[in-house]
Amino acid sequence: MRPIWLCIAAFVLAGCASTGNGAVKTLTQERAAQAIVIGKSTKADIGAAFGAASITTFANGYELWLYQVGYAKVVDSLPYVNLVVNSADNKRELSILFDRNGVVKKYQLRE
Amino acid sequence: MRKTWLAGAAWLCIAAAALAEQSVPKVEVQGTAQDRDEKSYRAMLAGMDVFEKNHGLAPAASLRFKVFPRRAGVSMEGLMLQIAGDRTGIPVPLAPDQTFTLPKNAAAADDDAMVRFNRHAGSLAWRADIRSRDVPPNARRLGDLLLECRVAMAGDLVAYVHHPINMLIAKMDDPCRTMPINLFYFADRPVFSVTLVSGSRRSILPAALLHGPVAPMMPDHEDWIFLRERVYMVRFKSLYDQGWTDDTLLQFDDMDDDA
Repeated sequence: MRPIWLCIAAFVLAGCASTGNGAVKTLTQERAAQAIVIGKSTKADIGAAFGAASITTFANGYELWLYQVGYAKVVDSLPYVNLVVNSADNKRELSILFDRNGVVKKYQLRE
Repeated sequence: MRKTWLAGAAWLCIAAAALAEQSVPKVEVQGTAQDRDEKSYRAMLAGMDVFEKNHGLAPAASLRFKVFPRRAGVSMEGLMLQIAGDRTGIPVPLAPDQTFTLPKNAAAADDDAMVRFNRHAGSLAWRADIRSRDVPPNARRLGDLLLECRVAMAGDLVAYVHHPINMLIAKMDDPCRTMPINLFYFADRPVFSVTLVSGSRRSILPAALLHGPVAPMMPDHEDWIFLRERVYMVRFKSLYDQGWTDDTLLQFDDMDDDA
């Protein structure tokens, strides 16, 4: 691999590590249940608790916020890099689904 | 002088084309235009052969093909399908769920016929649809999905960027099982989470495998983006290496289920 590609890969990967404010690293199911209330917690509440997420919006009006410990999901968009490094290899993540009103509909902590 | 003449001729051509555009009403005859959404019949036959050779992955299933809308505004009403070539015109029945099977016809293969829908190119996402009997309604079986992947590769069903490296991977002996490729499957409904289940063993699939990449590099070359909320991926090599078997079920937690 040419040095320029190594530099690009290092730059990209360095910028793709984790999402959020780090709270998910030590989050337990019990604390998640306290911090995230289905049918009540809003995007502002979740943003305040966990920081900026990787956000996917859907045509049905729902929105998924994903907090990953390890690589952020943007890595998965990089052709060929994603064959070697993929955020699906992360061991810990928190995904939160918001309904059309911006209120938590479901969440899941994977650890 | 010559430049002036050329410019004049060019202007006349443009004017004539514009006039023709205005004076001749546009009539789109479905199924006869050149840019129809179509796949090679020979390639799809190759996919059918792969299904037969690998039927052991899904012994209680048969092979169907299925199409999904690829873009907003694509109507699935009035969808018609045929195997079409210079000397071939075989209508193919389409089920209400947009699935179909193909007959084996040597003459159509010799004619290098196409499997053609009455929709513009890029309107549809094509997939294999292999479902074993007795699988619960909101679940899929791992062996069925692996076989779908193999058929899709052999049948050249899935849209992708035809970069030489991608084409090389697609032509490998078994990229589905040996490479961490991104084949995008469509769940029956918008999906929030997927859990692998085999007996008492359970494992949640990473959310990173759902809904596709955040920022697809070349979205016009992808066929899954319109149905993003239903998309999931399966890393077969990793799962089989971890001991998950063909009979493993993927259970879907829909976005609209109660939590």
